[in-house]
Amino acid sequence: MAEILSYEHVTIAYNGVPAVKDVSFSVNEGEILGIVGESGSGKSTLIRAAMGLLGDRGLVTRGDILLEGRSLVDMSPRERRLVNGKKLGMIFQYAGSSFCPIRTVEAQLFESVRAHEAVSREAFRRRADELLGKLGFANPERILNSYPFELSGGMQQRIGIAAAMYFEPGVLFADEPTSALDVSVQKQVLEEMLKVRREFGTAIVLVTHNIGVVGAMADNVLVMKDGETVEYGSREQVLLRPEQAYTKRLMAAVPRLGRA
Amino acid sequence: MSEAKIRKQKIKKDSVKMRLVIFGTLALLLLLASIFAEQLAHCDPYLQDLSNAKAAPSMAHWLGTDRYGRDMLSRVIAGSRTSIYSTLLLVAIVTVTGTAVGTVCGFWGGWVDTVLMRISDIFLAFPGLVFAMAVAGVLGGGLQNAIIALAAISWPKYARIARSRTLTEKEAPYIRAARLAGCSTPAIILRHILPNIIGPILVTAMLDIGTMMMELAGLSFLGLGAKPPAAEWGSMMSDTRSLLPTAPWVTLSPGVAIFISVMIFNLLGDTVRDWADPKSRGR
Amino acid sequence: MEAVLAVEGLTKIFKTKGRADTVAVDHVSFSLMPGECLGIIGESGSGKTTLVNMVTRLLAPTEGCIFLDGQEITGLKGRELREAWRRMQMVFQSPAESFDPRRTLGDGIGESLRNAGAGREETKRETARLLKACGLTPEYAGRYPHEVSGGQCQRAAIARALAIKPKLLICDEATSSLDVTVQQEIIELLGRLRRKQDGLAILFISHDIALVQQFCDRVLVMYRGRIVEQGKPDDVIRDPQDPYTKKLIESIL
Repeated sequence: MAEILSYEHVTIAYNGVPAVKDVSFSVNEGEILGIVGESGSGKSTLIRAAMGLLGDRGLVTRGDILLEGRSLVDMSPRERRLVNGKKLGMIFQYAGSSFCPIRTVEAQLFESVRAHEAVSREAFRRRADELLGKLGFANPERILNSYPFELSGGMQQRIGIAAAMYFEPGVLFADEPTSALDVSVQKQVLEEMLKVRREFGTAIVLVTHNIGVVGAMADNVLVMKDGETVEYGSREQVLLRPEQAYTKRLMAAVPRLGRA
Repeated sequence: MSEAKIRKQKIKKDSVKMRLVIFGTLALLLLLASIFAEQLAHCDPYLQDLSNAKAAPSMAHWLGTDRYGRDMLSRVIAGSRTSIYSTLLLVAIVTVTGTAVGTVCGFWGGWVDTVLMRISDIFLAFPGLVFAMAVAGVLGGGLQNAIIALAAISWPKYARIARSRTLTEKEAPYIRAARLAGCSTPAIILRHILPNIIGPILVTAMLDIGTMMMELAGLSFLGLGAKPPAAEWGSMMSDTRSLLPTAPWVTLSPGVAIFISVMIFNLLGDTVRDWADPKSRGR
Repeated sequence: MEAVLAVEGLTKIFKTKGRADTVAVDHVSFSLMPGECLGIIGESGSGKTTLVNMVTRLLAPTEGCIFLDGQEITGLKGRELREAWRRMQMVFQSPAESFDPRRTLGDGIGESLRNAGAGREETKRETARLLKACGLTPEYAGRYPHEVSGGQCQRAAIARALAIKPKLLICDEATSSLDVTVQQEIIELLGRLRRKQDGLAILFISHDIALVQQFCDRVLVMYRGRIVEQGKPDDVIRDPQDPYTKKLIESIL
């Protein structure tokens, strides 16, 4: 399978202080990469750099991030607008707070789609219905007509995923997508992401501190600590047969349910 | 793989501390000037010398003299005492009153809150200068009454800030922890709530020094504040405004003094706000 | 043996104008023995936080009674309530926010001692001892909450809670804002302190069943304000009876 996204010796600094040091990895089409680490490990910084969301104090000071061979780091703001949303999707920890509370879901999705593409309301509606149907929403009509506060946290997050998939981007970045949700809801959101991969062959870069989520989703796992790569390999290798002391400590610290 | 690309990052320095030192020093100089006004003024600000009236600025009288031949520089310096002192007194009164009322309202809520906040609404409903004129009309003119009038219409703003900050702070986990540690209600307010809400209130007070100075000067200009011959910037300007075409320095000197002091206190207030807001401080 | 904490028919109804009343906690009863660790599991909206707020008397119950150490504390006020608080302490979810940002950790830890009438020297000595017992050095007494990591701050919060030797320690999601490796350290610390201080009862509120299984003797499962299931954690997890508990356990990854 073809490589779609690659990080090459990426170093990211905020105001001269490095937050990520010399991190390299690559993601193939349809692959799910889980990036795990504790707070301050630089895991979210990695995906913010790819999305161009480092702010004016942050910069990729060394190395490159390539999407289909094109540098995402040295992209002009104009090119960036064409790439974000269309080729790169992103979902956040709190999808609810990225919605405006006084407008319906449909109005907001329509507006963000219009920012990329001149599309009629009818065509948008058809596409949205089809997309939500494909992603297993029981009643697309009702969801599109509701206000964000009428939907549960899990539903908001699933809509966030659907919205990110409108243009069928090749890569979906997910920053702690389930960390604000209850466990019983978390499962629905993870299933939604797996469905996205099945339906569209999207590669997903999943940043989380929750080892259980990575174990349930990822093909490959990258473990980070203090801005550096600790271990990188297949899920089985990293989670079940970790080699580095830190990974072993991390795995041992996760409370596991004793079912037997 | 080719050699990794390297990009140069511009590092932003935090200038807030520098600005704080500069404007703090300037404000301090202003205060010192008003404290040592008598020593600084090289002539008696009330000494008339009609033979040398309306003299243009010269080596002997840097800012010239007014229509009674009084040295303008000395008068401006002497005026700083009245202007700055009364402004600071006014700001102190409203800050203390407003904070006390607001904290009590925010903490207790209920009918205390309702009554005090409706009273503050009543004061807020009066247009500032009109109310001051009414007070001056009832109590008579004079600097003291001007301060009372301005204090009466200014405290509700501080009460509102203190109240809303108290409302947020009192739900914070550390207040619950203090309760569990056995602190009584007055102890919680004085030891924990007040230190944590006072920051934004002091910043507002700093920013208000300039405005209050203008308003006091304005009232004096209208003849409702300090009365001539007392050296006060506002009344000095009002007193001499007919001289603007013939001896502009007489009117302009106190005007420039007001302008400079207001600006220094405003810039200081802005800087203190930036400094007090951790988000604007560098990570 | 007398229960450290007993709660009978505790109910909280929130009334909002123009909307149906919300029953946040619905006739909850349980008791906690000396030395026991009782876990309360529930997802957001299950009422566990409201329950804790009522037990600590920061929120008035609509109905029901609370007994601490055999004494009814439901209606206590002022000085009597402050006396009751000396027997029950709490560790909060967000360690940094549970300390006054403008005071040092030492100030926070020593506050209950000073309020109980301890002198300056005594408070200082005791604060140092508590910090050591919680795996920190006495120098931490001089630090401010924002100067230490989340884990260190939570250790200080535990030191503060244990300062006046309470009989009941309430941990409200005490580890959920921490990294897993730090969480493990804090849980180990709590276990150690429990063994050291004989008879300390712990009410452990959490949304993480696996953690409760590791740490607690008994667990209550809350759902929509009611206790739907209770028992030994191992039994509840292996053989859940209530449909909600079943669903909850199934969704654990």
